[in-house]
Amino acid sequence: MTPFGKLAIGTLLGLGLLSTSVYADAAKGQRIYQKKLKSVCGMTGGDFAAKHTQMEWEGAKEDGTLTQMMEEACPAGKDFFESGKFQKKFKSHLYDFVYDFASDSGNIPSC
Amino acid sequence: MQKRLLSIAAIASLSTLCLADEAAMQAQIDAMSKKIEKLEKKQTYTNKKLSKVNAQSANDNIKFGIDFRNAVDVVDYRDNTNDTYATNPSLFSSRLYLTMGASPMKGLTFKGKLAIYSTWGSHLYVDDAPLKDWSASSKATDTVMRIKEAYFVYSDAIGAQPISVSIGRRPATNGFLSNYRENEPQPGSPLAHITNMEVNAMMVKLDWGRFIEGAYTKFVYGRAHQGPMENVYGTGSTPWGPYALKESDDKSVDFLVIPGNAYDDGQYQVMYEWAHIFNTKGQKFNDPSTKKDAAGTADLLSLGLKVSGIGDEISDFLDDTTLFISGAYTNYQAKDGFQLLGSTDGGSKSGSSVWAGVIIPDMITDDGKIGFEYNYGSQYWTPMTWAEDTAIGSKIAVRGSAYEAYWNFNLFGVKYLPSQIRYTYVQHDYTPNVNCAGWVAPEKTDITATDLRLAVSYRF
Repeated sequence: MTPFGKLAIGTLLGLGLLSTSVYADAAKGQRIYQKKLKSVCGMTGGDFAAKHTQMEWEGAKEDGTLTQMMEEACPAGKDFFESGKFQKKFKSHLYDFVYDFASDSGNIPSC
Repeated sequence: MQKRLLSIAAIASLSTLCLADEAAMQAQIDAMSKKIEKLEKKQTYTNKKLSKVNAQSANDNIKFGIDFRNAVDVVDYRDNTNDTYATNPSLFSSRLYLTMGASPMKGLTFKGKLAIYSTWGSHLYVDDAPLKDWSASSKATDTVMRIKEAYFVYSDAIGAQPISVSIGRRPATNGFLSNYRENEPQPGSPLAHITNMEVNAMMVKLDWGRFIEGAYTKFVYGRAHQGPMENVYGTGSTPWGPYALKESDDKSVDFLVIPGNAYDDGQYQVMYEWAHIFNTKGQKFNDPSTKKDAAGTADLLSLGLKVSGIGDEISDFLDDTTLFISGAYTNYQAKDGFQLLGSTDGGSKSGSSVWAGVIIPDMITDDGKIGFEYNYGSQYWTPMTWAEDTAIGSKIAVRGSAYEAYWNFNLFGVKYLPSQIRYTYVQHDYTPNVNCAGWVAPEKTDITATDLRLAVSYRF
């Protein structure tokens, strides 16, 4: 490898390792919906997210009623929404997904 | 007695005062309740108004996004037979995608992607002969902005059968399985193992989800190459005829592609595709002076399995691991008097390929992934993947073996700065399949090509 190649790869490796911020991920939320909820809820992820506006999803998150709002949007998913895994692991990703694809978001999901 | 009277009077006046205070307080509470009610009504109205404004700014118009990537590729080519060597230690490129999306009503969407993909210090306008409409936004060239994608989709149902129709410049690049190596969150429409080209087409999609989870079939008909025509104004031609086709063996190349999901539950996904290409370019039999003639047809088949997450919540590592394997077959059938890929007169040549990959969490960064891929292609393996974004040419099209490793991560941990380090090693055992050139017979060779790409993007 050329010295330039070595220098560039070293720099990018260093910068990449500075990754420290934890972000919820809408794409991950979309995958979670597809895997865990699509068949249970009987609707696409887009339809589920479009049940509410961005402000409504955001408000529910702030009020601590996000789980309840999701349950209302998909009653068949009650067990999943009330599971410990959902609260601990999936909730933030799924929130990012429904917020990004809310009825007034202008975004169009593929699932 | 007087004292008693005074006490009674004091108690009476105090009670009156208390009653008066209570009434005043009640009046105040009532007034406040009314105010709160009014404010709530106002708040509801404001929320509704805001949603409308939000929808107007996002839904009723085009919503734009940016995907801006800067990359440096270190490319090397070694022809081990002749011991010759070619290299570029620093191929800098910038790629700007201006993405567009709109959904003016339920069931109708428009999507578009304008692209500039240039090498740094490029010529003002690159018109290399092999650069065609079907790869112009996928290969680093000049700073001209081109349309990479622009199509609308209308979805409805005929009885119980959901149906979608679409027309335009399709999302036909970086399809199923190739989005990992491209560090893109979603794949394009087709199976990247056999078709990876920028094309214009019409599409009808039938959803079978009510029978098999996630199943659908798309029927896509389009044109990848326009045969030669008289010029725009028909000058210099007899008889006069703007846009009239010229008499030539170089015919228009149309295609029928049928991709689909056989099953998709979000964890296991099986996709298939059959592509039939009309008027595939080849040459007249035993006449090396000819090329680009409509010499026959090509059929491409692929079947791929992707597993997103191993097992069910065994561990975070396995949940975030992806495995895939895909097999593919190509058959080029020449018509009488012609040959394709060195076939006999009217004969055919077939090839096959395997593509496997694993993508695992990098265990260093929060969302980083490391991927490993392997490709193998036989002597006559000839997929149409020439818009694949690899500086050394399509690695999926290799007639030999290709090995690849990449690390996808977010620079500084910022999700809007997706970045990649990718190393591709390709061993060509037969003539590299780098372009639509059915008149070239794959012959034994020994060429090694490598590409180290470092890329940093801004995506929002």
